[in-house]
Amino acid sequence: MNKTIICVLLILIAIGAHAQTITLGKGINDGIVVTSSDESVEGSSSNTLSTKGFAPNLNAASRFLSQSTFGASFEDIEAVQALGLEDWIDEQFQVPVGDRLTNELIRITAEKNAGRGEPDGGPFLWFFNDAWWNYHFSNEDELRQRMAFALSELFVVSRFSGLGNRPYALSTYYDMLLNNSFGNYRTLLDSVTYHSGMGEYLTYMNNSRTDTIYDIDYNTPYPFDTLDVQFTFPDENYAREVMQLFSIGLFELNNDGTRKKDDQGDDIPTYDNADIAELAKVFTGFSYGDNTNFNRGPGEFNTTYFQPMQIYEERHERGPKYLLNGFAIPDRSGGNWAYDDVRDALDHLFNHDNVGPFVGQFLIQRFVTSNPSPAYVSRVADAFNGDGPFGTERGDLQSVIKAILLDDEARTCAYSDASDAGKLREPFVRYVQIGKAFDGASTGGRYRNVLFPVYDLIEQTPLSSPSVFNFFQSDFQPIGAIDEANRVAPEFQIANAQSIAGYLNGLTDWLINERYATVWQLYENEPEAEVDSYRTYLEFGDELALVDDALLPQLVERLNLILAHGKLSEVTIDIITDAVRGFDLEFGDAEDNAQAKVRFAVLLIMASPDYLVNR
Amino acid sequence: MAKRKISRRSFLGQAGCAAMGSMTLMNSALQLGMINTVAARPHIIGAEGEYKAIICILLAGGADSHNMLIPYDQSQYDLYNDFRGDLALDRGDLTATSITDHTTGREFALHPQLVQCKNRFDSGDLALLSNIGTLIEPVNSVNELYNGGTRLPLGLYSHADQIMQWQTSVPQDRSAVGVAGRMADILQDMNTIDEVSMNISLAGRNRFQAGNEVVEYAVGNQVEDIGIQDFRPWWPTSGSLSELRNQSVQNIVEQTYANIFQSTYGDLTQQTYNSLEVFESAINRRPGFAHEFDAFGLSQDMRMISDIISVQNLLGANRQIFFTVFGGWDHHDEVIQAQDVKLSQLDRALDDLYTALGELGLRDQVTIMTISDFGRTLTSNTGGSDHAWGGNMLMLGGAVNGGRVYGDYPELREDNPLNIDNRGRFIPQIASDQMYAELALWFGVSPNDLSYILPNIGNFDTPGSLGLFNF
Repeated sequence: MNKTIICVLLILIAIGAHAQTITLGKGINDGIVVTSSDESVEGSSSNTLSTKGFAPNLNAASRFLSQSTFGASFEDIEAVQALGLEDWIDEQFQVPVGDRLTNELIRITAEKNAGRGEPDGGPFLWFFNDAWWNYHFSNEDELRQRMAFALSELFVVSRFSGLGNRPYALSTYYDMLLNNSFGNYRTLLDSVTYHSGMGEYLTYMNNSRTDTIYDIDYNTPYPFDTLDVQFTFPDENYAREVMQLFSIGLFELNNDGTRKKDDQGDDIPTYDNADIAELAKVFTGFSYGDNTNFNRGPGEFNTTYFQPMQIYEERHERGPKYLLNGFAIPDRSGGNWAYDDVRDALDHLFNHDNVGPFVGQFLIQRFVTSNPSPAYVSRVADAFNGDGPFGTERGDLQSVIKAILLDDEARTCAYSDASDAGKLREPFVRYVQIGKAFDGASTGGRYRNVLFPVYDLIEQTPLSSPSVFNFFQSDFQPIGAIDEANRVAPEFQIANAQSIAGYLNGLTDWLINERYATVWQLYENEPEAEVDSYRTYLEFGDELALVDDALLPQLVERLNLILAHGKLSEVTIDIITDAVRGFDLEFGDAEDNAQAKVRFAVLLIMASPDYLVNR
Repeated sequence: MAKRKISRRSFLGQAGCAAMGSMTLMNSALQLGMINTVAARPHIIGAEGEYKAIICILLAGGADSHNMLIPYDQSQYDLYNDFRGDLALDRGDLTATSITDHTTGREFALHPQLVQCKNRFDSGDLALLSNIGTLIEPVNSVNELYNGGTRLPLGLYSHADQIMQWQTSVPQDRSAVGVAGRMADILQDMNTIDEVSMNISLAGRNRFQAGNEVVEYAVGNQVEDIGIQDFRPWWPTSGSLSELRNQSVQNIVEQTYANIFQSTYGDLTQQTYNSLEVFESAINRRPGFAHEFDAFGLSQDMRMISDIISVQNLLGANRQIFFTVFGGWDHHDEVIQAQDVKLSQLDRALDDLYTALGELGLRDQVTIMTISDFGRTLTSNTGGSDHAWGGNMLMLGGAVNGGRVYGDYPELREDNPLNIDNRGRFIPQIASDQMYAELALWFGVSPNDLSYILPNIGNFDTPGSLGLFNF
């Protein structure tokens, strides 16, 4: 037995002792040397300790899936354990995008119209939620689903705006995010910028170049037939937010996400109001893709959202635009000059050094931890920049995803034990997790869920942010231990008395009262059986056999694995086990009682801080 | 029920010697909006015990308020009629709701559905503010608007911006907190119970009530929905099993957590239970009203607000600010028909509320106002109107110097120097700041603290110049 094998054995012993927490993976090979038995191939031995080919234990697989998906069943966890993390990611990258939300929205609308005898009726807002839900329970692109949701919190549009009347804007926008989730950030930025939903939301739709109105004799009839021509100056909304929120942020950053300082030790703003005014000139002349008139509104049933916006050259600002850091878009004409302006401006933003750390940190916060170390941010920024072990080309989101999820800081237990480790799980992710973990299924194979009751309880559903600043801001610090420790906790911005009570009421309703998903009739006489066929039912399996008093510890252990990747403390486990033991309906049959006990155990786990903080 | 009041300053003094645990509890409570004060702000006016409340109704979507307050004088009406085209209301339909400013004698009419509002105007309880809007600094003419010398609100005519700016009154800053939040930052010490915030929302989380130290306490409008619900009520064991849940959850969160996220969430959950205990026990002792509230949502909001006001003592409240949203005013189309419905609902809800306040004998101590994203274009886009800026709002309460139309309601002609373009968009001549300033002073904010609540107030006339209240 040589020295190397002894090292490996020691690791295995360590796994045995801390089966809940240790995973071998990339970066967890400090001090370990492996010699391949085939000594002629030196390179292959190091692969043995890379993530590829290494199986995590079940809890580690569960933990990984809690960061990378909306939730996982016991079988999903086993599959990842068998496959290994990086292979799973690679496999997920290959899963094609499912049938578009928009297709489902069209189908639902047609069914509604048929039922109501209104052949030309449009969709209702909640159809977007139905379609979102259908996609997420019909497809297995679990990583893409989580990534698209994260992106929807970066490139925010919301139904709380004029888009509340435009479900097609929401569905096509979400489809666009799904399509771009494993692509390049630069392409995504382009798709976002040209999406008419974003054009409306941040008000550069029908946004005209400088002086539009006042070139015109004040007394001549108004030349535009509908909607607002905004102003004599270009609307600055998108110019500001595309910088502040979507790409570079407010302050110059080092590659590790910390702020650069000037000679006085102060933060350095990335831009000022003059920069915004210049960039605003670029986002002029945009109108709906199918418009024949610059100022016209969206088409009758909003099918115009299926295509990107077009730019009306005569409405697009002429002349040079002086952007950040001395970059100028030249005075140009001919060809696609207006589109070229936009391309140059977005290229310029895309190549700003801030984007890697800014977007990297945002995504780390969504997937793994609220307070990543600068080194972690730097490694993810490297991947964004095309560098480091995962880097390919600048902006490659697959590289970024791998760098985030396979990083030492995401994977090893040492980090998760720190007092500031992890993040509060997003309430909507928790909600979806229930269905993902417990085989949410419908009898008809299609799914509907209006989600409005969920929003009322927990203040979060897709594309429902109260403003462009997302449900919560990346730098939010709740008053108390967290801000005293100088840490941030974005998700706490929507943790208040009503939403915490709402969440407990939600758990009660979704689990115990067996009203997980709410289906509304499309028309008054839609048969109940049909409505029921769209309902998402939770299906507990092996859990139901573990409700006898003697087996309850096994039930809680299994649920602990599925929901909390083994993070429940012994005290929490004892409280829950005792409570479930005492939870007896005292009516109904054994099956009812078993269901109730399992569901109650899930409720208590999901109400526990051990679960709620994912670390 | 009422606890002995511990002022923020003295509490901080104690906390300095106290165990860390109590500080943490305090801080988590701050996060929930249950206590929440600014330390060392001694500028509270008004003796404790003089209860006052503000009720803000946000007409979300941008109400076409030029059909809520209409010039009635024949020549002014003719200008209105010409400008509005198919959106103009017939003068003959306005007779019953015509009003005369008690001071200037100028003639206006309220929308024909605002019947009770007209009565309140006549009795001197209701005032209108004309051509009011969000401003950073005064803009006196179109020339000033376009010569670049004045700072303009971000995103003019945009819902997303304007609806926030009416709540923050800081139109240059998209991340500003709300007016009511900042008022509560200063005044929260006047309330003696920590668990329930001064700011109570019927519309969930909102910007208006979020301060630097305070957030709203949000409730629904049905008493039976408040709190943590029992399991299916038809279960014979529902009560005991629900209690088992509540006790277990509290046992879980009461553990000591090393992780700061876990300890914070645990404290928040515990505080949620505590605040609900206070709130539910108070609201369950509400005396109720002889008046029957309409079943419509806004009237139900007014009922909940009235109920909460009726138990103010049990909540230890000397000051309360209520907020709700009445949505659906973005009438690019069918504004005439839609406003007939919505304004009758608004009139009824205000009447429900004011009648209830009469039963409580608290009309002089409560001020109600409507705000909205913006006014709309005078011209029609055939059936509807588009986003604009200055609009009209109403204010109701015994303390309001009612029977007045404040501001210089502009002549509705295209060549008015306040008209921005030929859609009929008027530059507001009363800033939201001016209205909020007088409201804040009435509410008990010291003049010294006005600039904290309204950072732009120094750009406008001396607070009080409108004369909405007698101080």
